[in-house]
Amino acid sequence: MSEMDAYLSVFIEESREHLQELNDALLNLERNPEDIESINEIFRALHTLKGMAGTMGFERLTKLCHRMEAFLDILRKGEIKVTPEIVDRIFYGVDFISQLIESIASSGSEGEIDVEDVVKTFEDLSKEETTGESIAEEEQQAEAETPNEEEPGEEVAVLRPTPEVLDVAKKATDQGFNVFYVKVELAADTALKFPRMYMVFKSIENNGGEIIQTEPDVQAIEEEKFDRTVELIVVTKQNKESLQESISNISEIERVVVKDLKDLSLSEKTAKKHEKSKKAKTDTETKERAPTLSRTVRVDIEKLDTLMNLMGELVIARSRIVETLKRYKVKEVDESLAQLSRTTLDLQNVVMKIRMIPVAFVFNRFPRMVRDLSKELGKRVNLIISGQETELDRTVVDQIGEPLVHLIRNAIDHGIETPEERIARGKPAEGRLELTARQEGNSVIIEVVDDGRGFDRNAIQRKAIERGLLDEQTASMMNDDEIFQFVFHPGFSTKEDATEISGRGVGMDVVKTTIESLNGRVAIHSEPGKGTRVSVILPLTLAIIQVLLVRVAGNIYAFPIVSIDSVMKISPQDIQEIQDREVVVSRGEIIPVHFLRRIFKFQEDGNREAVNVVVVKTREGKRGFVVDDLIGQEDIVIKSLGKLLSNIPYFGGGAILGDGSIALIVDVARLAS
Amino acid sequence: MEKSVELLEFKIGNQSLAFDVDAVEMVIEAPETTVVPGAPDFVKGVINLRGRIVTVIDLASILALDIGERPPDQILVLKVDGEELGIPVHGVDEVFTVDISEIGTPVSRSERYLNKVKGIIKRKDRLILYLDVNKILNMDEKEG
Repeated sequence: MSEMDAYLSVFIEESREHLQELNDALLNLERNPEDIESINEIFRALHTLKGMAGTMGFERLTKLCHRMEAFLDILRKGEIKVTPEIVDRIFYGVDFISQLIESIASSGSEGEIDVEDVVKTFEDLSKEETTGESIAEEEQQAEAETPNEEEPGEEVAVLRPTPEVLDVAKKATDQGFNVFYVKVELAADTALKFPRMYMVFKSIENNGGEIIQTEPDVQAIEEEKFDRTVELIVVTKQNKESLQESISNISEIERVVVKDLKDLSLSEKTAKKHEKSKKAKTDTETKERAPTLSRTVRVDIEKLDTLMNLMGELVIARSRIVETLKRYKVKEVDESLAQLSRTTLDLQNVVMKIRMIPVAFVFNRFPRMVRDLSKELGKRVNLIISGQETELDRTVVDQIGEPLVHLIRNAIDHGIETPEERIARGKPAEGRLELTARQEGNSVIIEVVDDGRGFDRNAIQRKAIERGLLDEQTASMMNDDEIFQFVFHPGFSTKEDATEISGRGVGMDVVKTTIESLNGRVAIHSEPGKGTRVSVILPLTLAIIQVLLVRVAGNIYAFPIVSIDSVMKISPQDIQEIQDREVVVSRGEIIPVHFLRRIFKFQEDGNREAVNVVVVKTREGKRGFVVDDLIGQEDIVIKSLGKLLSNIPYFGGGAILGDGSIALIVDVARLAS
Repeated sequence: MEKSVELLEFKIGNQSLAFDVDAVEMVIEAPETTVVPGAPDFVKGVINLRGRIVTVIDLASILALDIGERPPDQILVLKVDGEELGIPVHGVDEVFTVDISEIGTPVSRSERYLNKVKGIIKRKDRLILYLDVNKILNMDEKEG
């Protein structure tokens, strides 16, 4: 990865974070138009974005952020009152910023996006409302707020050499080294401050120098908790001029001052004073920003995947050792083996946790979406989000966004009624939409709950029968959830006038397919007139799943536990033929059954007294699969079967069992169809 | 342009075959192969190769070779497009260097050879089919 690429990906990630801040603050502002802190937040985010975009050379983005920032400054001064129209305009501008960033993310350039119109909008807005005060003046004023702190020539140092440093400095001088005080000032709007400072450090070190003290301290520099200047004490063989020159040559360094350390003490008095005021300032700044700073490391997801795979290997190796040793009954290793098991288990948990991120990553975008949608559809919606700190595997979080978008759109479009309709039904005019997440055992449950009109069982049932997906008899035996599942059928829509929002029945099937591909499932509870609760049940992690191992013709297969409804032992006579289909009747339910031996083209085994049936839940209802034996439940690490076998109909992956043999993992949804 | 190539010679049945030695990752004793129902015909199954699941290709059936009485006892592990593939063989003979000029144009015994064979090498008393690793799985083209 080239240096530029590395910066670009940092730029994109950070921009997205700032975009999120922008959206959040804007939503806040919309609710509380008087809230000056939200305006400040928007201003700050725009300012940072502008600086970052400038450094990376994205001109249109810089320009747009600049205009918007100027406009926000006017708002900040209270010269214009915040109205819903103004908030809309800012949202509009933010959308452009978002488009630009996404274009940069996908193509590395700003693409064809034209920002001139939107830039003009903000220019006009600014002009319209401020009497004669031009933007240039605004800028000047902004400059004036952060004045250049010192006159050139009279340097004021914040850094105070510690006694230890003075001691080292003295010894170094005795040995013929030079000790300098260096003050480095970065150009205004340097976005990647730490990388720049790092280059300064590197340059000093490459020339045989050593940095013995910094102001602020190194950690603060790493976290970019400094304004524009960093002060250093450097021990080096270089002379003043060459040190000055080598640092000045680094780009984005505006000014470098190099002085002998002993000259520093002269301005100590002023320094003290300065330090005080500066300190007070830094304190408030740190306080304001504290919540966004956490000690984290960004790690490439691929590295985590590798770690996960290695972990899987380790788990397997351990169970193989355990299995082998069982045969020899070596007492001496029992204890260390137990220790090994505990450690692998702990390690497994840690690795899992590393891959987990809070669902807030997806939930964050919904307030904005709900706002836009409800405006568009003329509905009033109060979105309540809870449990956004619940953590899920990174891969799941990445993929869960789209299904949730569909569910929320549906809830607003089909579920929640218009304010008039709601009042007529005796409900509050404002609809309630809840988005919640919580962990239950090895699953995470995400729910979208609305208090709208609810699903109409009869309408769905009628439609399903019309489409030949169901017959009257089966329908009468199905419970509500089973009937509701039909809305996930491709092209199934009960609302006659399909709106632009929740499409023409497209979308709900995406929900189900995506969630099933994540080994999860969807349940629907709904009461006509009262509302709907759609629950998405997802496994905590993808890489390790619980399965039921079964044997068919000497081979071992694995059924994911999440898709299993029940298992039963029946005698072959219990299997009846109804309309060319083999079925069993269990607790009044008719369940079609399939013989795995037949599907897999193994020789059939005719003379069994009892067979085991694994009953799974699928989109089409319950299905039974006849297997030879049930082996038991196990946690397995899913492995890919490779490209050649990625499209085969029956299996979604494989797993290596404790004895080294391979169990193929059954893809229940595809096997049943 | 290179003048010579380094090849690994192996046998399936009585037929001598060769791959570029760089494409061959390792040779292992054939472990138990797990059959994959629903897989294409040329897939023999999958094996556990040090914790990885590797697909085993039935090269004999792709090339319509007679494997004789004895089932192949070794597996040649190739790396094609970054993915490992196993090929059951009856033994690996040797690595040898051959001059490009000594590689003859394949004479098609059957259509299915044409796109998979890079050439034919005469060596001592044997005729060796020099196979193109990247094309052995090319199933889109017409089979003879």
